[in-house]
Order: sequence, then structure tokens, then C-alpha cells
Amino acid sequence: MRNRAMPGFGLSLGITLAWLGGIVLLPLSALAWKAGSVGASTWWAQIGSRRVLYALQLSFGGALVAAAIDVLLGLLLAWVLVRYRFPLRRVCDALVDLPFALPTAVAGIALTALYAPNGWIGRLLQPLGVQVAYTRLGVLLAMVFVGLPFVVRTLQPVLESLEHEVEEAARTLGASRWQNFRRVLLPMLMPTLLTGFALALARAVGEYGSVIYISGNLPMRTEIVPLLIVQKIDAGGDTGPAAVLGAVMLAASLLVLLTVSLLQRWNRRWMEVG
Amino acid sequence: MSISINGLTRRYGSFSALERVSLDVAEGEFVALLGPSGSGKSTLLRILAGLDDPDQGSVLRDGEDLLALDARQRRVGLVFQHYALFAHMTVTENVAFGLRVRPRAQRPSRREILARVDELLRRVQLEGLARRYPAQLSGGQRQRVALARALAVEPSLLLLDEPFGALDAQVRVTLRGWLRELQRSLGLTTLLVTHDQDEALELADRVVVMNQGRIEQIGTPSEIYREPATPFVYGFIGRSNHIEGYVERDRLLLGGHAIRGELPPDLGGQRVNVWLRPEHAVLSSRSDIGWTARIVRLAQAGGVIRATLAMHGEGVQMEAEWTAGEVTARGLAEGDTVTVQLRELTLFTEVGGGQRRDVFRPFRDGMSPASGGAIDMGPWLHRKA
Repeated sequence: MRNRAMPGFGLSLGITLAWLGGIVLLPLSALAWKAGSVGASTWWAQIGSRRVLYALQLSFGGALVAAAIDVLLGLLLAWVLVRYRFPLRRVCDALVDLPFALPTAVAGIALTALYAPNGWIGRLLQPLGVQVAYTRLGVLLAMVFVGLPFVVRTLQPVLESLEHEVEEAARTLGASRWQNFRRVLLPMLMPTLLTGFALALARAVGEYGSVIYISGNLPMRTEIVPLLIVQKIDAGGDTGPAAVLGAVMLAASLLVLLTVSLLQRWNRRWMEVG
Repeated sequence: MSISINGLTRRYGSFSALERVSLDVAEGEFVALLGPSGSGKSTLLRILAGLDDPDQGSVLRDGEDLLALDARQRRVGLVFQHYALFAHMTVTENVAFGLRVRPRAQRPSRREILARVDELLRRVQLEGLARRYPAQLSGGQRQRVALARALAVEPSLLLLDEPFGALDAQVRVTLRGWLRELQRSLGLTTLLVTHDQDEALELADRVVVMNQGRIEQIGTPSEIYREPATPFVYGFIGRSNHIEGYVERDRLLLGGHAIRGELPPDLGGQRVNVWLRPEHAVLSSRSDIGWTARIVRLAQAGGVIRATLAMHGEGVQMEAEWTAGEVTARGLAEGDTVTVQLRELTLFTEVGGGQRRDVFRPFRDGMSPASGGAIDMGPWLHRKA
């Protein structure tokens, strides 16, 4: 492997592996080890608990739905930001990053204030019989909020690099706008949409700060798994139960991300030369 | 089908991309739009395809208003320089696209579509590659897929926008010949946009030379090369020399020299733009007849030798083309002095916004090296490019 354009292959590989090992794998193995060392009864007590099951359902179900919503909203947002020129476009573009920068607790409190029954928006929804704060809908809202920038930011460069000529070719071949979108644009964006989906999903599953304020944390209804973990640690004493929940989340997250990654691979098969 | 373009104008702000362009294309004709970038040729193509709208003018296809139709309904095949293939579709899917997006009532059956795709792939010689993705094809193959895709919808008009621009020289020449054959056998009215004059002159029945949004000349390839209508066309097509001159009764004053020959009487006393091809500056057999010059540079260019000459007198530089045989026979080298005779000069004079064109063939003995110093050339003569 001589004569590379960039020197330092050995060094960079070393740093990469050390980084992965020290910062990612080490804490995760500690978690797995801790979870493995507790007895089967602790495991059963956690996994068998209805409260935990509901929380798992909300955490992953909510994150999946939120990521899906993020993909739709993000596609729309990125499309408008890339394809149209309008006043304050740059401001809008900068605002997209806000959920990245805002402390999640601040976001959670702000959302709660807005959507609480006496909040600015909550007050308007109240007569319609829609309650957002302290319900699963609120959890979903917080998850959508924190995940959106991931989709927009992954899509933007790809949308910008799409050749207009490809769409023009489709038009001259007789494709309608919808056919152009459905058969030409969407398939070309699919790998990127999946990346955005995976990122938004991962973020939503792990989100803690913003969700706990708006959810109200009602057991069996609006509790997410990260909250349960914190509660179990706060309770003092053995960290075993918390480790078990952490391990379950870890395994489930890995499974979901792996599935997305496989889907993505299948979806971008046309990109490979060979 | 025949196309009739009338007074087409397209402006972008204050920039005029097309200025009252009119052109008739006969059924089955192959017309090349040739010009530098920014000359409006691609704009014209985009308007015909329905991807851009003109500010003024009309386009009729067999008498029917083409501009009234949306790009989708025009049945115009368009091939782009960078292929614009659908990267996520196989070759077959790409070619079938135009048929598959048709409304159900007009859509051929699945089997008919596949049969048609097969036939087209045979036509463009890509039979074995039906299941490949564009990323797995070479540039020449991709462009043939793009062509097959455009042909699949049975267009009444084929538009090619610099189709070989992204390909390397060899592939380009091969595809050129092949495209000509294909176009003839289909009898398809075709417009080709190119800035490559060889391509235009070799492929087209007629060439339209464009410059700054206007048509400079329309003609057969040989007319364009042999009888350029404007200085722009003369300079753009082939190699050329441009010198400013002055007509004095029966003499053309050029760079400190007088050249005798038959000149239209009404040109007397006028400044003219003199153009000549390098092949019209021939080596004189007698050193006392012609224009003395020093050879600045000799360069092999294909089968000929290209010489840069510093002409004796007022600093005129000229490019000449001689055969390798001549150069060797005379043992010419850089720095040598030679005598050159000019065989055919084209004189352009500006007349009321247009260009008057005269061909001037000097007498064989119409020029003597010694005559230069005696004439007062006046301030209007100076070298230009």
C-alpha cells in the first residue's frame, strides 16, 4: 500500500481505532458487562415489567414515527431551501440548526409552555379536543423537533448536487411533475433519506432532556426508557436494573440501525461501479 | 417533420440570448447550430424542447404551433452533453422510461415496451448491456443509452446538445460517423448544437453559424468554409489571417505592400478587412514576385507544416500552411527568409450595418517585394491579430 496520495495511513487508522475503542466501545462493553453480571431474575423483573414494556414501546415506536415525520418535513424544508429563492431564506436556513444548538431542556420547557392547555398553541388546540403537552403526542412532538435538522442537513447537499438536466430529460420524455418526483427524484434521494431517517431515529431514541418536560412522565403512558434509567439510578443502590434497560436499548437501537443500513445498501446498489 | 422558426427572441435581463432568429428545417434534414459558448445555440434548442420560453417569435412544426405545447407533449427527443441518464435505473429502464410514463390509455403493453427497448438497444449496439446501471458504462455507451432513450418515444424532432462534448477524441469521431448513419436511416429531422466545427461540417446537411444570439450564416458545410458571409464566420471556421487594408483603384494596400489585381471599382478609397486562409499564402517560385517574409516558427500539424511568418514591412504576422514536401525540398528552417504569394483574399466592407463581401485574386505578378517602401500607407493601416 505504497504511493498513496495521503500519507499517514497507519497513524490515522490507529487514531480511529483508539477513538472507537476508548470512547465508544469501552463504555458500551462496560454496560454490557454490567448487564450481563446481574442475575436472570433482575433481567426478568425489568423486561417483564409492564411499565418498562410501555416505555420501550413509546421510545422506539415514537422515535420511528418521529423519524418518518422528520423525513417528510425535512424533504419539504430542504427542497424549499435549495430550490427557491425568497427573502430571509438564509435566516430560515440558519434556523434549521436551532434544535442542534438549543439545550434540550430549554427546548422541552419552551415546547411545554407553548402546548400546555393554557399555552399559546395549546389554548387553540384545547377546544378541538387535542391535547399535546403531557400526552404521547407531546413526546412525539419533542422527538420530531430534535430530529429534523439531521434530515435537512443530510439532504441539502445532495439536492444541490442533483443535475437539473435529469429532471428536464424526464420532462421531455413525457413525465408529469408527479412522475418526475416519484420515479426520478425520490429514488435518487432515497439513500440520503434513509441516512437522515437513521440519524433522526437514533437521536429520538436517545433523546431525554426535551421529552421529559413535555411528556409529564406518566407511568405506562408517557414515560420513555431513558427516563426510567435515570429514575433507577436516582433511586440509589444497585445500578443493575438501569444497566439491563441500557443494554436492551442498545441492542434494539443496533438492530434498527442495522436494518436501515441494509435497506440503504440495497437502495444504492446502482451507485456501485463494477 | 419540418420546422419553421420565426423571429425567435429570448432575453435574460439586458442580455440577449436570441435576437430575432429565423430558420427553416426540412423534413429529415440534419442541421448543426455552430457557435462559441453564449452564442444562443443552446437557448434555441431549449426553447424547441419546451424547457425555456421565448419572449417573441413562433415555431411551427408542420404548420402546428409547437410553442403552445408543453414540453411533455412535444415529442421532441433531447440528448444532453452530460447524458442526464437516470442513475438509479438500468439501461433497459432508462430506455423504457418515456413509454412507461405515458397515460395508461396510450401506454404500450409491458411486452411491447420490452420489445421496443430491445430493438433500440440493438440499433445503438448495446444489446449485451441491458441490465447494467449507467455508472457501469463508458461515456460513449452512456451517450448511446441517452440516444436510445430519446428515440424510444418516437420523436418527430431530435435535438442533440453537444452530445459528444464530454467524450474523448477517438470515441467522438467513431460516434459521429455512427450517428450520421443512424440519422439517415431513421430520416429523423435533427438539430445538433456544437462548438466543434469539424463535427458540424462533417455531420450536417446545413450549418447555422451563430454569434451573440444572431445567425451569422446558414449554408452547406462547403459554403460555410469556402464562402464565409461575415468576418465572424471567416474567423470562426477553420484557420485564418486577418489584416486591415485599403483599396486604391486597382491596388490593395496591405501591411506596407501594394497588391495588384482586379478590384471592384466602387471599393476604391475604402478601408477593408482582409481575410485569408493559411493555405492561400503559398511559397513563391521566384523571389522577385511576392511578399518577403521571415519564418518565425515552423510546426508540424497533421499532414501539413504550419508556418508563422513575420511579413516584411509594417509588422504584419501571418500564418501559412505548406506541405511537408515543399518545406523539405526547399530546406526551410525557422529564421529563413521566403517569398510568399497570396492567392485568394476575402475583403469585407461594412455597408449600412451589414457586411459586403468581395473575393480578390491578385495577379500572379501583382506583387513585388520592392514596392513596399515607396507607398505612404497612411495611419489607417496597422496589424490586427
